[in-house]
Amino acid sequence: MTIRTVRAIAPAITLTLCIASVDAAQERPATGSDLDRVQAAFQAGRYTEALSLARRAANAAPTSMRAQTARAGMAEFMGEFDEARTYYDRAAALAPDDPELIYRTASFAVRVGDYDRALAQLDRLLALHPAHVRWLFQWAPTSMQPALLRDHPSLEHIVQIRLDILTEKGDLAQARQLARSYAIVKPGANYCGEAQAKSRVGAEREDTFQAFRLATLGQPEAADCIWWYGQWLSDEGYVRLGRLMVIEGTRVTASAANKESGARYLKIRLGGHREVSKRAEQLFLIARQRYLRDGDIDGATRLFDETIRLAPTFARPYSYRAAIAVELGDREAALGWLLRGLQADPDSWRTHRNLGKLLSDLERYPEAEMHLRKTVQLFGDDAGGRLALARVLYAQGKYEDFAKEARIALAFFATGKVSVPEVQNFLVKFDRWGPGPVLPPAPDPRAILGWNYD
Amino acid sequence: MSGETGGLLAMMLEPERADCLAWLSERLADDGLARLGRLTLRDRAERSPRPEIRAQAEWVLRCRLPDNEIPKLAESRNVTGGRLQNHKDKPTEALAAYTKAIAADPMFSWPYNNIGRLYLGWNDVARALTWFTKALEVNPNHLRAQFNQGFAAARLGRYDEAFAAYNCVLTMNPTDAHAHAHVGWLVLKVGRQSDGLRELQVAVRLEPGLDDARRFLDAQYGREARRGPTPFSAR
Repeated sequence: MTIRTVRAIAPAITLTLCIASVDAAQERPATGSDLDRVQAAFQAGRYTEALSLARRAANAAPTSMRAQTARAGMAEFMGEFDEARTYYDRAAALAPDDPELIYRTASFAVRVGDYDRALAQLDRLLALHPAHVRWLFQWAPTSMQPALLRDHPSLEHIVQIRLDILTEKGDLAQARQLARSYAIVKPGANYCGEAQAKSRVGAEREDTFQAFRLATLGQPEAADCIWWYGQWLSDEGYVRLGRLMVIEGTRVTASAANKESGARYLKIRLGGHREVSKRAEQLFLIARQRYLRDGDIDGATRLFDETIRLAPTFARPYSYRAAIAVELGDREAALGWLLRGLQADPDSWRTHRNLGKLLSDLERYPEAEMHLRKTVQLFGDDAGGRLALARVLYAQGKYEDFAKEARIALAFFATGKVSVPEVQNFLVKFDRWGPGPVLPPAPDPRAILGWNYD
Repeated sequence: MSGETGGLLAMMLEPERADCLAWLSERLADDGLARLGRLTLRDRAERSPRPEIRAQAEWVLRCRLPDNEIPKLAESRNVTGGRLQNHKDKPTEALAAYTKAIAADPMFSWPYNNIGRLYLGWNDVARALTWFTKALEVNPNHLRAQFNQGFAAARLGRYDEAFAAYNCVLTMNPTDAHAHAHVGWLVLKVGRQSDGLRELQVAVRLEPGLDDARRFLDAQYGREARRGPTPFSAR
């Protein structure tokens, strides 16, 4: 692969949408300005508009590989996977050996869980490199690989994506071997210690995450770090990889308590053994970003519904459908979505919690109490959930129970050095004067990795 | 040959190919060379063949440069103050130089703004705010003084004034990522969560290097997982 080719791939690696490439000169002049507008809309975060412009550009220039690729990339970014597939295929028909396009189709294949196709595309990409580079990549000793990957960044991306694919396929042993053979991890290095140190000092989030990723690849015995990585992934919504890591961490740990904790996490946070396809996971992740970051309620709703159709027992999208219903002012519909979520996964801690809090907002306290009790029964360290329960108990005049739950929550927050002064103040007044007419506050600070979001 | 020299030669010899001056001029202004900056920008505003360059030059003339012709003596004293303040770490001497610059031309807003920055450095935020306000009385289009006024007002907890100042900045320069970010933090501080998050998002889109804002948004929303299908590729 030439330097020019590497340059063409690099932007696609760093940004899913990369429209401007060097090879534009031969194409219709109108396409450039159309695609410039797509790029401008994308960079300004106007993603819906960018997709619409990309569609127009692709329709106006059906023989332009760049226009077809831009539409495919934009559709993929927005979770419109069928459209993305169609336009990647059209682009590939126009330029079958374009390295950037091959990389992107490989990436898209991973996106929809077609791992074998992705690996085949990565092999094709590798085949575009010069023979001596391929030879070195395949046969050179491990000690030479870091320099090779540094000189050919596209090779490093091939290795890294292969690592992710192997891990997601559940072949952690092969992933670890691959990581070792390309010196992504080195024997004897204490990645777990480094990762924990980064975590302690509050290093850049991405750096910390990368350090834990290396720990899972380089230190198969580092149960705590594998477990941390799994919980982080679960929070972020990478539920497939998250599940695999939690299972691995639970398998490796020597502590019986940790084994029990891992099994519980799997059951109440990751849906037990309910399978979520890669396509559904990715639709969920994209829907979440369209809803939260873009405020694109219509687009997000459609994608959450598609996720539910593909993975009906995956509880998390139901909570987002409920949140959208609340935002649209329809709290009854929100209750319906959360109840459907519980039918799909009766042990979903977060769904019980969301339902309990919504019922509390609706002043349906006995039902709220039932779900919030279930919440803290499933996960005893859920201090935020416990404060919500305490509030509901107070609202029903169950003052002793209120004080007991609130104190347990405060004690838990104190261990994590999380301050909730409004609750402390309320309790002080409660102890001194007894119950008053105002309900206690129930703040919900994020306290534990792996139990946030949704 | 330096970029500036090249640009000036191009302006004289090949004015139709001297658009690099539009960017160079901003650098000149950053170095305190208001007179040369004005000269080159006026040239671009009048003679550039490209309308977007003419518009950009006019904008910089309006918002980044003094709105009057500055006497050489005032400019030099302000530059001296800047060197004393930023390179020699002699703030007291810098203050004297800025004061002399104002004496040489009381309508030159830059030394007022620089005195404000000196007081910020001394943690005398109230006095800093006074000087930023004076700079704006002299030149209401002084973008940086406007931004600094917002910053100082926010530090003093005078949020309404801070919002007003930042709004002026954003009116002058809607793509000012830092102003969007400051507005975002301020809005969050006064409890308007969704508005604050929106402003921070705009800021990060405009300037991806705003790490604090990006980290905060990622903590709120999770990673921008749309960029790639795996945790590694989504970086």
